[in-house]
Amino acid sequence: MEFEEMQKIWDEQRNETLFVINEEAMHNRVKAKKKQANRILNVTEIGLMIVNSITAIILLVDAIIDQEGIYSYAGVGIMAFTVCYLLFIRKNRKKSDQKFDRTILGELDHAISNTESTIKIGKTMVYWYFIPIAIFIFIKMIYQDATLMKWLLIIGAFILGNFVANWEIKKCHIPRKRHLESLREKLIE
Amino acid sequence: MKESEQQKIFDSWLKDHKGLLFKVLRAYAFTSEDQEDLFQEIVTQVWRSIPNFRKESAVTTWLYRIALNIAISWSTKEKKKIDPHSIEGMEHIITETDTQSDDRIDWLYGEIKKMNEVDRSLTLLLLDGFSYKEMAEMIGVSESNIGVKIHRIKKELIKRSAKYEYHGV
Repeated sequence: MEFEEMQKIWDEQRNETLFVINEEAMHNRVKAKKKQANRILNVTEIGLMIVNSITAIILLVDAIIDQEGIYSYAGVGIMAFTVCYLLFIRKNRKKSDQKFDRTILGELDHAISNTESTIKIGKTMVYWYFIPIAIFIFIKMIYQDATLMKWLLIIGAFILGNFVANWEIKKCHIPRKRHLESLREKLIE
Repeated sequence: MKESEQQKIFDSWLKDHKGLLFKVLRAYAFTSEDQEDLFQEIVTQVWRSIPNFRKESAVTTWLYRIALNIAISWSTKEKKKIDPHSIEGMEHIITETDTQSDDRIDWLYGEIKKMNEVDRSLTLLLLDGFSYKEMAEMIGVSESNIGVKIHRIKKELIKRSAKYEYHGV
């Protein structure tokens, strides 16, 4: 069959009859979706910033009350740094939203950039949240002469938390980023 | 833009160009749940895009670009497993009709489904008569790049059609 013949067959199709649209249900869904726009990414970014700010304040109050030395303030500094870093990522993401052109390649670049943002936030959570908190708690436990059981429980909780956070990045976001990048390759090859 | 005005444009676009959206739906989503999910994503994006439409391109070009962007990105997402009990009583936004479709059209869609996501887009645009220039503008790559890809797609489709004709379906 020649390609022109395929085109003729294609033109003959009457897609209108293949599906029927329930207009009322569609309008309701569109409205619901509209409200949901960007909510997930905003909740992750703003939520993490709020949690880290509260943690920094708690650590600061704790450091002032306990007077246990300069190390107590290190946790406050690191938490404050994560808030600034998250603000920086968010600002960059918002700025980049305007940057991409409206071609399919541009939209793919945008999707890759958004996935990269999510991965960065996930990694921030792992490296700049769990580790400083873990160090802070371990130092406290050394000072308080914690029991072996308490050590095991706390270490176990941190390992589990770290595993869950990494699992989401590895199983969900990194494969999606790779898939998007491979699509990009297919487009420009 | 007023919401009523946006609604009017949305309804008219959908009335005049729903066939285009259904073609994208058939090429990218293969179960009724997936078709429902993808259609919802596409119409939501079409709605959002209305205030940005500057009439620099034809409505069909604009809609195709949106629908293909969403379909490509949708196909990279992990699909949610839908519990049939959870959607019982829920209103479906699209329903497949019992219309008998042409075997040759089914064969064409079957071949399109076998392609990668990018080639599927190009094939739909090609079959709908878009020029290389329009495709290049829509996709964001050079015309020569489009030309190479289209040449490969046409060659492959013609080769496969020989097998189809041979079986006399």
